[in-house]
Amino acid sequence: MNNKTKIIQMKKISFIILGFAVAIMSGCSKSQFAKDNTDPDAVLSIPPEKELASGLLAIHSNSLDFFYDYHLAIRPWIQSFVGMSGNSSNTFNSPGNLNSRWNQFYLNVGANLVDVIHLIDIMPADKQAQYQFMRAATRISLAYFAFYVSDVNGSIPYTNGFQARYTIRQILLPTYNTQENLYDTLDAQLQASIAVLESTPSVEQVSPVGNDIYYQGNYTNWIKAANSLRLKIAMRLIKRSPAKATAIANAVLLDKVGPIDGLSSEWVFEGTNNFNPGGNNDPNNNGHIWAGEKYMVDFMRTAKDPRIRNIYRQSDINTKDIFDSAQAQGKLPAALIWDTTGYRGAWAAPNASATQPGYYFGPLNFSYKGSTISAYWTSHIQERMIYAQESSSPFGGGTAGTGYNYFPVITYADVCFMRAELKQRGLSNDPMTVKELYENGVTASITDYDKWANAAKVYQYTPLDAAEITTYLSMPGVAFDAANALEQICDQAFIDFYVNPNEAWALVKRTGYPSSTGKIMKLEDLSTGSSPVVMPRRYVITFPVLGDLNYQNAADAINAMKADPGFGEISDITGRVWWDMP
Amino acid sequence: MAETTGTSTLVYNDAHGKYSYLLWSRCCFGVYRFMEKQTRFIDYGKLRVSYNSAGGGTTAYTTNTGAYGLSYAYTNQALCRSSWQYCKSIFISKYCFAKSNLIPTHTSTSEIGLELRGLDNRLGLDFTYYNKISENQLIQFGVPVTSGVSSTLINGGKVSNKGVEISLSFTPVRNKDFSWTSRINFTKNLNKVLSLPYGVLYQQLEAEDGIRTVAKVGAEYGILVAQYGYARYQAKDANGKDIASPLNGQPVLSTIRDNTQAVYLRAVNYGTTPDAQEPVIGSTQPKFMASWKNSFTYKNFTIEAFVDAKIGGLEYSTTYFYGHAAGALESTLFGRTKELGGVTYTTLPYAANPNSLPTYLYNGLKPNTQRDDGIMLSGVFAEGTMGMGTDGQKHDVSGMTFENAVSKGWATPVDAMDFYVYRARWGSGIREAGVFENSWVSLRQVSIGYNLPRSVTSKIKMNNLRVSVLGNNLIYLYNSAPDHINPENLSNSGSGNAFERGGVPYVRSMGVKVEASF
Repeated sequence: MNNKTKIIQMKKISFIILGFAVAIMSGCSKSQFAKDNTDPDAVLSIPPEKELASGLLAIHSNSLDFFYDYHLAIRPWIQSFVGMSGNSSNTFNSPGNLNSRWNQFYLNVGANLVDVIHLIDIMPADKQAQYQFMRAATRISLAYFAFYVSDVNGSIPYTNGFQARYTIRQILLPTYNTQENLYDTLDAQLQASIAVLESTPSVEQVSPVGNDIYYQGNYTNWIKAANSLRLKIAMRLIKRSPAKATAIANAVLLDKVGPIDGLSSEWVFEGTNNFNPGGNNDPNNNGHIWAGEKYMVDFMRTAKDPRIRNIYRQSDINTKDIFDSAQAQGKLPAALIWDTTGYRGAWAAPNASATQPGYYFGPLNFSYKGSTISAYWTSHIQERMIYAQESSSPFGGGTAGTGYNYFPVITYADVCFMRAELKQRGLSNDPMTVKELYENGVTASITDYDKWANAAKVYQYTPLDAAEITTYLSMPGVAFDAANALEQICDQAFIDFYVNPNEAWALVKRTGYPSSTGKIMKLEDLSTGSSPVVMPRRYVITFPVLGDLNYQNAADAINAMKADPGFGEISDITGRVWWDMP
Repeated sequence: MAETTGTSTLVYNDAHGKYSYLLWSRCCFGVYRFMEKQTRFIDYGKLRVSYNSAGGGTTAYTTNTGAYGLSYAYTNQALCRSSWQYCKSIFISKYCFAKSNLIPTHTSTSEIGLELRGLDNRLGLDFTYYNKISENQLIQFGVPVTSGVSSTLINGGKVSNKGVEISLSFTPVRNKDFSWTSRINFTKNLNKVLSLPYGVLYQQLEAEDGIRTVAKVGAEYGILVAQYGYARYQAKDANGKDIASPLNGQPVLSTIRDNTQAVYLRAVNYGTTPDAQEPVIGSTQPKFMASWKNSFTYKNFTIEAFVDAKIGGLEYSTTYFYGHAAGALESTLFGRTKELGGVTYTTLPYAANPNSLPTYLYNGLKPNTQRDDGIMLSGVFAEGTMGMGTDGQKHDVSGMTFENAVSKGWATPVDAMDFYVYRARWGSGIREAGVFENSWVSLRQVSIGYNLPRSVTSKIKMNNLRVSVLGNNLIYLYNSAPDHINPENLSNSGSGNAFERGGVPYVRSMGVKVEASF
């Protein structure tokens, strides 16, 4: 090292200044750059129908919605699911991760469907004319999901939303529609869609066929879907504006096509066996096992409801022999009498284990025919009815299901119950009687559940015998009873909504049925006892954080909602959105 | 030197776009040497002054948004009924919308440096001061998803980084058989966010649930803020106006389980202004970084030891936080027994429904029982808070400190299990409780090497053959993280990351190395 430094040694300061040179870049052309900067895999222009399918599929592909919102929140809150070992008061808090439907709407469902409409709107006039029916149908699904997002959030951006991609109307900071304004807007758009679809087109219309996951391009069915969604909006308006609800209902009933009028026009997505895009559709994920609620199971069993075997599995203790073994070994009280059934519900009240017999909670371990078995007294749900891939044994082992599920948006039964309720409340001029509508609804629901259970290959599927419907419709509590018609309609709608929990929840919020003080099918009163809880009614509204670009619009919308005393604190999930009037 | 260059990443697919920028620098340096014979004090001196200016683009393809992706069929998941064509659907695949008028970024750096060597090269000093201004940064800026995208790529933001780097090397001993050389490095960087796009004051850098790092205008980059931090008490007068109080700034308390258990409130559930709902916890940036390397050579043996250090800056650890809820960490021993700091107290006589809960309170404690696993909270009860008293009655504890409420019998020390579970649970926990200072001094590497004598290597036609035994990440000489958390296990390498996740331990590695040259 010393040798080296000696070689370069100098006696005085050297000061070297480097000048600079200029080299003009040459060679690369801009068009070459444009080509280089475009992903060879990118799809830059597409026919709108190809994107339609993605937007529609996204309505059903959000598995966080299934797991957190449906399985861990809404179903337990409304006593549709009860934890197999009982509930705690935490069951009625937010399990966290709720409301993924918000991002699903703005980044997937809505972003795609709005883009479909945008792609149509920028077409040359002659081509645009061929797409008007598709455009109208696209708006119907967009309206549905906006309705669905608003249902638990209240005010949401809609009219001004989704515009970031479009340079001409680029809006990064959308204002919010109040729920009231949203309903008006959606209803007007649905009417406009119906008008287009009922018109005689000036040119032949392009069909979305296979890209239309619900109706395969059958526009008559889309008119029925739009009319049915209008009815659904009308139901939400019953308390806030009965006059508006009546006007919508009567317009729908007078429409030349009308709402969904049979099983063949139901707004339902038919999935495949492995339809579980996010991997969280399984209700048994994270070690959860679910039972039904005691009173609801009792009602269905007593009334011989054929849907019971599609919604619940028989308890492990489903023969007198097993029952006797458990009883002889002290696992069941000596005084308990064999109930001749395998269908038993669980107690939903938090900490019910303190007040109800212990055998309702947790497995009973006893010896049966020489081997030790671990058996639950209560019956757990038919998991495959909502998740077709489910193993035949939720406690481990078993074989995976090979069936598939249906994902209903609006069914014929749903429409019948809506019409029955409107007529019963004197809010429509429906030409059919309440009884006809009620019985059609029950019949349609039972028929659907049989079809869906068959497709889902539920455990020990038994086909429906048509006589079962007749029997059921004559049973006490089910046979139409004008004096209790409203409760009967709502209770039947509640059972029908087992696979559509957001609607079941809305029904309970809207009507109070099934009620703990009801005369037909009760649910438990959770407001008393050692751990009183209150059923949540909406989601936590997230106040914007600092740095949120849309802080002002969001804060304004939230503060406006807070002005309604029923709304409560933003984090209070027992608060109410606009339609959910006390 | 200067040249104009360009980046294809700013050219849009319709071939518009401003994509060229000037790249230039000036550098002046001087070299100063003293005669060796005259003083030997300073052998060599160099002064550097430089300024350079550079530009840049973004990554390929990102400016061309509006592009679509192919749906599930091509990822081999038949999600739909096979007979239907919609399996081959197309969806919007880009959620970052690039503005259509992006320009190249610009960074200018001024630097002054002094390099000195003296005492026959046994002492060396290298000092650098730099000031770097970055502007027109291409930022993927989060926008409300309600606009249909989750971010936009825009030009904006101005950040300055100033700092010093000092390197000191010295050779205390150097003789024929033995030498010891040592080198100390010290760096300190001060950064400041001068402006952000759209005139906003905050930009999120990295986030965990309810706690995040942000760039805040006028402040250091990487400030830790938390909606799920402790709420900070603010006294109010009868009209709801803020008033001065010695209690202001203390954590805020509430009660749960029918007012039987006191808990800390989250800031977002208490604050009435955005700042109070998401308080600043502190900076995640280090005060300084340093390292020290020593080499000892004795004949053919060389021993090297390398120590490095990071001092200052906060970190949030999910391992530490959720480990508390599970009671799995050593630090949760505190309060479990009297010996471990537990406070002695008598559980409440209360049982909400004597018929159904004859022997247990909500949190599973037997009533009227003396326990010694109590933990005193530190804070002030929020307005409107009721506390279950030892008399079985509820009392208004608004504005009272926990200590005061306990002394009145209107609050009870919290049993250790419920204290840890509630404060660290996902749904209600105070993430700020999982924050600690991230300072450490690590014995990063020690190696012992042996150079085989030339007489041996020449026989096997080698110039040099060196065998060494080395160990990496040997031990933390100092670690401010609690419970032996590995503070360097950050969840990603982003510049705003201060989040430890997953509990991956500090991994020591030992090895044998053979270096040969021919």
